[in-house]
Amino acid sequence: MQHFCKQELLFGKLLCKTKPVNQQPVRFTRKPRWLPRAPSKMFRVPVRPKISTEERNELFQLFTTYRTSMKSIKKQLEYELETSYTGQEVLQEIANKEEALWKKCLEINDNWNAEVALARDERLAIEREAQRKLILAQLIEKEEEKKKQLEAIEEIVRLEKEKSKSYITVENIDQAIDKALDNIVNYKYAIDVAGNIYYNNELEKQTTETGKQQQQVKVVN
Amino acid sequence: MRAYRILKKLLPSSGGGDDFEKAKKAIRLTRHGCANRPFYHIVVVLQKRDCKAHPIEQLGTYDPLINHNGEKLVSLNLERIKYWMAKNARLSNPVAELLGLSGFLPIHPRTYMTAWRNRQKNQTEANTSETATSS
Repeated sequence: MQHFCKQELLFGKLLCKTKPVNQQPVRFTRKPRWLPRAPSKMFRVPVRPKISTEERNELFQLFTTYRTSMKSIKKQLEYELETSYTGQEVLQEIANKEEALWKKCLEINDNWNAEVALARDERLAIEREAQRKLILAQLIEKEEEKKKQLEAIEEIVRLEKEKSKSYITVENIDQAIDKALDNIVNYKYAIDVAGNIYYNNELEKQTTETGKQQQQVKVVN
Repeated sequence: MRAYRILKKLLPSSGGGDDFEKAKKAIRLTRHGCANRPFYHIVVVLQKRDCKAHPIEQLGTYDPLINHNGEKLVSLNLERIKYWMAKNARLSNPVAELLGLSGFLPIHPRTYMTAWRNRQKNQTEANTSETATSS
């Protein structure tokens, strides 16, 4: 870095004295900060601007007034910017807009509700009709079933009544006892595959046809 | 040296640069002309950035050369200037002068100063020419 700082080397490089073609860059080159004054400007004394006291006072006055007015303007602008966001009127306007939007939404909602209500009424009417029909059908069915049940019960009652003719009652109990004592039935027997009945390991042959029928009934039972 | 200026980024000059909430901003002129033909954009940039840095927003233009009608044309986006002034952006002197002359702000003292200095200069010149002619 030190040899780069040397004046001759740097200017030699800048002016391209080391190259065969002499290029001199004119724009965008500036004396580096660390180089001394140019030799041509070595003994130049810059002229100080001379401002008279009158002018200075005038300028002071002007600048002070300008600064104060600028301050007030800036404050006013800040205030305006703030009120544009949070001012009473602006907020009121926003609220009004929101209210209008809300109203619009409500209107849309009401319309929609009315539409839906119409459709629902229609649907409900149809459903009610269907339900009514269904209930009617069920009632008819139930009635029929009831009738059938009654008939079945009556049938049972009729059969019972028919059966009750052969019941043993107080009047005919003596006869029934006599009958039972007269016809003692011995159930202590065995049957083979052919349906023959054996009492006490002895085959008892029945010749009559009625006897055969009885025998078959017994086998079935 | 200054290579970053030669290697310019391809960004729109009308705005879209870095904007940090708490960083200081300045409204200034940036030169966009070519050699011997100055033309300026009035822009908001971060105050610490270079004069050719990518601006936050362009607020206007300024053509310092007079046209065939003898006018210097300035265009200003006053709404945005108001906004940025409210956001405490610093005004550079030439911009403040322009705004003062346009009637948006009070006239900058430098305008008065240059005016009276020019008047003085003209007067002295006239005096010297008078003395030269009389002698």
